[in-house]
Amino acid sequence: MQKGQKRFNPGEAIIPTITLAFGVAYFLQTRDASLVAVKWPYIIAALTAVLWLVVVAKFLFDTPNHPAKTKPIDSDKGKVLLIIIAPVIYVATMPYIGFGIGSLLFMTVLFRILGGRSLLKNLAVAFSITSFLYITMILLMKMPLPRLVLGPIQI
Amino acid sequence: MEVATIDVILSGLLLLLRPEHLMWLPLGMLAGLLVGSLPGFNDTNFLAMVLPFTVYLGPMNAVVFMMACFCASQAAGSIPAILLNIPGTPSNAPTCLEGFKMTRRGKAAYGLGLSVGASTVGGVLSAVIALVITPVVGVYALNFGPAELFMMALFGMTAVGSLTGKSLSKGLFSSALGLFVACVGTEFQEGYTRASFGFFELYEGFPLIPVLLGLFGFSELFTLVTEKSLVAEGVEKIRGYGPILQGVKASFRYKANMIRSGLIGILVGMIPGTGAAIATWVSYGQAKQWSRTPEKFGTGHEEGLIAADACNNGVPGGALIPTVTLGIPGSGTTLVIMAALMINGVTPGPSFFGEHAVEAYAILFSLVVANIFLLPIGIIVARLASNVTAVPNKYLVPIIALFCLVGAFAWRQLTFDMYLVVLFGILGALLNRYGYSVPAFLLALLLGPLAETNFFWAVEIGGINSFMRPIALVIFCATIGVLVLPAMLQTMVVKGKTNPNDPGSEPTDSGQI
Repeated sequence: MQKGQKRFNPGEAIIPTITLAFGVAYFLQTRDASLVAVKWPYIIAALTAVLWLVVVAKFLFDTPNHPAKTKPIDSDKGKVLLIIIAPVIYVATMPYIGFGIGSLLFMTVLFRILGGRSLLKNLAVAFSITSFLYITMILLMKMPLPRLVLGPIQI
Repeated sequence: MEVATIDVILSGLLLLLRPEHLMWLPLGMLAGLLVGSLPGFNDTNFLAMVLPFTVYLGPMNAVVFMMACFCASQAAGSIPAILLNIPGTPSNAPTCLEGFKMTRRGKAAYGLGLSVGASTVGGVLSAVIALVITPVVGVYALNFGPAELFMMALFGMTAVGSLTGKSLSKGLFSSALGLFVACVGTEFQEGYTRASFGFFELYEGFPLIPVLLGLFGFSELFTLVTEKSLVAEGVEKIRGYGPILQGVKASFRYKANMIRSGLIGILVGMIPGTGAAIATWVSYGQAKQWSRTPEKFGTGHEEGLIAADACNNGVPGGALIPTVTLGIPGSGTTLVIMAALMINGVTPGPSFFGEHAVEAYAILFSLVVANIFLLPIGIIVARLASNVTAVPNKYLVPIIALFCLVGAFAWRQLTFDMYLVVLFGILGALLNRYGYSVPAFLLALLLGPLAETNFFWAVEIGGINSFMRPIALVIFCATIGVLVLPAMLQTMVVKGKTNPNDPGSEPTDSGQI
């Protein structure tokens, strides 16, 4: 890549696109509001729009002097997706299997997928962390985290 | 309004010295030293994670714990910087330049000792200055009305936005986006719920804690998971305390350097949005300019390491001043500390020293005491440090994820908040990846309602003339000033980064924040 040559990185469009989508959804949601209620959002939206145009114009027309240094993530896409999907599954299943078992499974499985080969070690670390959280949050701080009810026992 | 009497000041000290409060100080320091020495995971992330638990500690214990953690983590970031050439926090980048060269020369323990000595002196100096000038600034801050508060919010957001993005436009855009997102929820004039997207959980806007956990803690996982390990292979084992103590002793030979660097830390730390990452480069550059042996910088020189670390620990004192007096956090960590106070029912700002004078002094004293404690605790931790930095990512990533998710749930007991952590984690990772500013986005989200309320109050009370009052105008001029400041600081940073031994050397991105 020669110095001064335009580099087109489609990823640069992600944040402006998210902003645009948020703005459209926001004003669709508030279309029945009075002017008083949305006066401030209009001011902020106008400010955001001006800066949005500047950012997009720079992305489209500005020529960087240094090559972009964002690290390619193609080889790590699986791990990145795992970091998104695993917590979603954990959160979705926790009300049914309880905090204790859910956390133990969540960590043991992730340790294994991320390279922890020893099942015993994985279980030991997962059990230690879960126990620590269980004792501090549920037993000491009395937080109402979901618990699996097995007759008289709650986990 | 009068400045507090000696009785109030002593009451603050005595409040801190109560065992139930003081016990959180060493605990915070140990946590900070541990967190700061983990590369890629800083005090802001950690404090964001423990934020929900501060509800159960109460404001005083929470802030003592957090201040101690803040001070200790600033110092501990130098440990991986010296041993592994990996800055524990962005502000430790200049420490790498000198410290790792010392390690290569077999003087790692000596370098760690220098770092502990410089951090202690810089930190104590900064804390004492903060103790003296913060209440005075607080008295003047009481003259602030809605117009001035709106201008301060504008100043804070502009400062953070203009100084923390990869470019000015992206930084300011991050602030604007944060303000826009803050428009979600019930507005105060008519009680209309603006854009809750059908979720009752958003009636009060986006909740602060899940957003914080997502943007700081969870977003870091996307980077950590793509890196294999943090195992410190080949790092020199530190044998005994001897070399560390020699380093501490040697650091006291550079008194002028440490005082100048500490002052730079407190001055830059006072400007919201600048933070330690800029301050340490400025200090490093100044040390080189004042040095009799500038040619030795970049080769494992004691002066460079001392300048960076004394300044680094000078920043917390500076960052605390606008946080407690104006309610404008000077850094990401003070933002979390401010949030801890707010969720405990204490709002930092102009009336803080009037309504909570004893607690305010206790907080300032906690900074002084934490920095004094840093010396013995830092020496012990430095000896054990290489073991901590060897935590492999395969274990670190799931543990951080779990703490973030559970922490979000703990705040409102809503599963919805756990999904928000993931959502804002993705957003934070994208903002970071493409050079936008996460601190600017977050600060705007936090200050958005404050800015809106005070803007309309000011207009209702005095119309547009409200904004022509002297203090408001001065703050507005300062806001314009911070738009120019990045260029000035960048010049100083370039001076700091350019190695005189290599005239062709160009600044790298390592110091970017």
